[in-house]
Amino acid sequence: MKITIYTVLLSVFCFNTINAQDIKGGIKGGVNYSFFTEDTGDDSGSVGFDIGYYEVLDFGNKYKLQAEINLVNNGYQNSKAKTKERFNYFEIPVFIKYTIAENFDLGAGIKYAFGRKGTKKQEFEGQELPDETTDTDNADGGFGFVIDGQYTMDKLNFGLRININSGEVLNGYDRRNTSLYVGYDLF
Amino acid sequence: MKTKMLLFTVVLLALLTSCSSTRTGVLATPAYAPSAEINPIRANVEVDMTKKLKGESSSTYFLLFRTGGDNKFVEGMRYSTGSHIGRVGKTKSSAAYKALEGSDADIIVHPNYVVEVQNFLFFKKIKVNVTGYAGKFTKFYQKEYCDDCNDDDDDEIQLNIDVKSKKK
Repeated sequence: MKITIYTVLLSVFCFNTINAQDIKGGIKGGVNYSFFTEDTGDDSGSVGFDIGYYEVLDFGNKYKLQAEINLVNNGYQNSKAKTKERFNYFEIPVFIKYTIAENFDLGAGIKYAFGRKGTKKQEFEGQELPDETTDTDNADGGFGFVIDGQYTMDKLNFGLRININSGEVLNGYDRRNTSLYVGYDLF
Repeated sequence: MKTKMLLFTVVLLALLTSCSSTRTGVLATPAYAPSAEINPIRANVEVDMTKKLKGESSSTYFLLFRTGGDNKFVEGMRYSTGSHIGRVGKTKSSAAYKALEGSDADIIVHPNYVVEVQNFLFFKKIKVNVTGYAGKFTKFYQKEYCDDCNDDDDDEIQLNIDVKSKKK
């Protein structure tokens, strides 16, 4: 993982050009869906949301560098145990984008997730027991990967992102998170 | 893993590969080497009031990393504020280079720097505009040593600037 991070940082230096560089930024929000990449029995992903702030540095040669800070809410559920687990965490994705068509960028990079906190809600269906909500902390943070596709329309941008690892391991199961988002350029 | 390591090493070597040559001059190298003080060098500068030099440079940073900007700088910049290093100082130096580049001038007399700094959460953009008059050295000379003189401020090259307006 360290090698990947260093490689990404070195690639930042590679774009050290003398072209005019513009910076723009804004806010974004979207919905995400988690899904497991292995057989997890009765566990399945669920829909969550994410909100954040982003900045984009345009190198002026089709390459862009984007950095964000996002608050992510997502989780999973177990149909057999009737439990729903939701958690929140912050993530900082940093990735390089390349314009492959007019107004359409494809990017890839890394992200760091931290500050995870969550709640586990247990439903006792058919029993005379109240629902139980407990704090939980079983989602892994750390570094992960980001793949991003984005379409820009004036100040609006629409994107689809796939998050790999980082905050995506639940109860020992590897997981992916897909986010569909809308962003608005503030400057 | 080995392939990744190899790839990383190749990228690192490609980026770090460069050549440089250093030439160092010393006065003498005996076992006991008293330092020789050189009489200050003075220079006469002719200022062309009809010719104004202009230069502009900008640089961008992502966190601690410089992601863009000009890569030619004027060495030995000195400012009245004393700020000659750092990100702004580097951009000023680059703007000064651009102002002098292609002109016949040796120095910028009475330079005015307009510094615009845009701070973002992840990025920083610095833009510097410099304007000043074109100065050209016309004569160098050394001040004779004088025992009774007060030479406190004679450590550096001193410039006697003679403003000679060139009317069209």
